[in-house]
Amino acid sequence: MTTEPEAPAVIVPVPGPDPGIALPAELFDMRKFVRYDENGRITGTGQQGVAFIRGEKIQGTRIIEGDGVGKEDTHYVDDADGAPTLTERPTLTEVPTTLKVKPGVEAVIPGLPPCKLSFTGPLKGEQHHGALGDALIGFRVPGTYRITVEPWPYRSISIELKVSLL
Amino acid sequence: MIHEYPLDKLREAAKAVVQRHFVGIAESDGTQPTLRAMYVLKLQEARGVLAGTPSDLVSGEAQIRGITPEQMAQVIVAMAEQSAQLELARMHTNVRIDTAEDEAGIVAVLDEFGLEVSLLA
Repeated sequence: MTTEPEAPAVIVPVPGPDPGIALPAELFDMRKFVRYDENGRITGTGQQGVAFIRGEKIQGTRIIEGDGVGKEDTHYVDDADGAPTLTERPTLTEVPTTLKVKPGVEAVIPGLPPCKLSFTGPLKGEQHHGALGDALIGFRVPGTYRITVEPWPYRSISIELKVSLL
Repeated sequence: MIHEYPLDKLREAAKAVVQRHFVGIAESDGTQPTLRAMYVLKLQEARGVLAGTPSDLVSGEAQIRGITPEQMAQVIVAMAEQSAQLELARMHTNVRIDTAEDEAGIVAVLDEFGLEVSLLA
């Protein structure tokens, strides 16, 4: 649907034996759209007649009008108030980008919504942070860890955690 | 949450990293395994030469290089000694990893060589 050429927003007579039938102009009123999942993640973008967008909505597809091209990582569809809107993903400004703790001691990552924390370094893996609040993470094996926090709909955060005796 | 790794498995992983490191050094000259096997034979022959038993292999290479068989034998033995020192260093490192008190001790040994482990928690 993204490759359809833009059509004029006019009443178009149907060719054939019944030339008197006209199609609604909104079939050809091309609009950009964004499809999204239950969490507001953009799952598709494109352009189609507004009637088709409306039709998809009626059928239960999560879709709104809007230009989401290239915004899959920076935007989401905020449906908190029941009026879904293409919105820029906010940033958690209170989260530090570097942390340092001793082996066996937990570092505090403040004010996170429920999210996944994945880490690489001497150990690789992930942990889940289940409730709004401080996330605690630590390691017994010293080294430098890269922790990626995915606090949707906030933007992902990358934290360097140094685990050292010093 | 504190993420940890079984200490005995960490030791094994660390020793595997150390082994790759030392093997990398030993093979850094690009010598193929077939030639390395030849080096073992050469060493035996060279020791024989130094003990008074002539060797066609050692004498032949000495002639090519324009030195005496004894000088050739000494070169071969000296090169083998370098490999022995490398192996001793690897074993010494393994023992230090085996006797490290904790994770930090193991990582400290690896740090000396600029090495690190990467394990699934």
